Amino acid sequence: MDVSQLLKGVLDVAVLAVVKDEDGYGYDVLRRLRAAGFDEIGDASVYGTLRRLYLNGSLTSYVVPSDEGPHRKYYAINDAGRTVLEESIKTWRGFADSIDQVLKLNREVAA
Amino acid sequence: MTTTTTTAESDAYLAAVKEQLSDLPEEERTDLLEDLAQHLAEISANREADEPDLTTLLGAPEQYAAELRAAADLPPRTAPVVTKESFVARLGRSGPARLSQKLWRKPYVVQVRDFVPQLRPAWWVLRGYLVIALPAFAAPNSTDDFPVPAVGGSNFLGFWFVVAAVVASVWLGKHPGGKWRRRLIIGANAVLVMFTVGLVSEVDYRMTGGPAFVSAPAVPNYELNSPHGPVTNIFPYAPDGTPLKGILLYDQDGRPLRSEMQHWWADGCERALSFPQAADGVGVEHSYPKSYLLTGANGALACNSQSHTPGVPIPTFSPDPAPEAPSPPDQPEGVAPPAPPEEVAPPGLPQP
Repeated sequence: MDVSQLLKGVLDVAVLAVVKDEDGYGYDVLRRLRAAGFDEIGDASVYGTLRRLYLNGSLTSYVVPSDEGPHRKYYAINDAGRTVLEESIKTWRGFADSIDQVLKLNREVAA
Repeated sequence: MTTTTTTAESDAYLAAVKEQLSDLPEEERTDLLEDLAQHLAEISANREADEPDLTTLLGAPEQYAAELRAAADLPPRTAPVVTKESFVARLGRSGPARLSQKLWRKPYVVQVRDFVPQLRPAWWVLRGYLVIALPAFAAPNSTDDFPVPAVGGSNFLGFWFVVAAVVASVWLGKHPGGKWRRRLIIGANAVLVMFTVGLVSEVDYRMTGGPAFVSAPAVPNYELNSPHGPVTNIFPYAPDGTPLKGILLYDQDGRPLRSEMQHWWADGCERALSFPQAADGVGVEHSYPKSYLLTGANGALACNSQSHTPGVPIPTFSPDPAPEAPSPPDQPEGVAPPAPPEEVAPPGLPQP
């Protein structure tokens, strides 16, 4: 599997997960991801991922007028997005388990 | 929370990112950048005072754009970025230029583009022929010059001149030589084409004996015309000279005769057309004479009243009714207009 594809997939799961319970705008989503420990995550990656998820129908968007500044574009998860998220979580668990297995084997070999 | 308007810093950063995405279709780019301005402004506004500038925070705009492309599933940039835009580059990005570039890459245009160079040898041959034939055609008594031009009065000589010229022309075509020779050839080609076009139109003129193009008659499409121009009103008179009012006019097929609206008046006053109304409230346009009502006077000029007099004396009729237009016996003789012949169809539209 292409590494960039893998990262893209991981980012999809992460972004979908942080808007699962609460809608968010771009900067909001970035903050939530940072708070969850993705310190190194690129702003452009988050912004681009939101855009892509919106285009492929996993997210819907709406604009909230703001008194303080420009209008904000909020992203909300929809049913398609929830399905994608559930599938992705399953895939991720399977993948993570496999990695764990490999690491455990390695440790046993090393030990 | 902090007010999020765009800052000079975020604007500059956005402009740099935009530059990096300049190869994307306009629509896609606009969509992608729709709320990036606000997003960047927010980052710029929300960072702590001791935090570095946007470039340190987000990376170079080039890097940001590349990441954006990767995340949004857009192809990586192919064309090199022109940072300092030259005039030509700006011109190239202008609307018409972009349209022509788009057209230039259309499949059917590409086909033509690929095909045209194949015609080059044919042009070389034609060019050789024209070089000899054109002066022969252009000569005043050029009767025996087609298809083989006569040089010095001899078609035989002309034939060999043409052969030699074609050979020379093809050789030149295959050996374009340096920059200057190529320019010279292009210039000579242009002159040749110009002469050919001129001669063709000349020959056309000679053969048709007049202008090659027949233009459409310069008569505007008015509803009613007289040799003096569009008809804007009709004033019917009874045979005894009494002006008639409210006369309905139809043409030979029963269509109402409408005339042009008169827009300009000799006294400079403005008038509006008013139609008599039928019982159902519809204006009757073909009722004559049409009446124009004054809507505005023009300064010091007095508006003329609308009295109408015929420009020529009204003809006098003999008291006997003309045999081809008998008056109905129950109407006063000479006052009623002649009754229409029986075979005339009634007007095609309902009578108002």
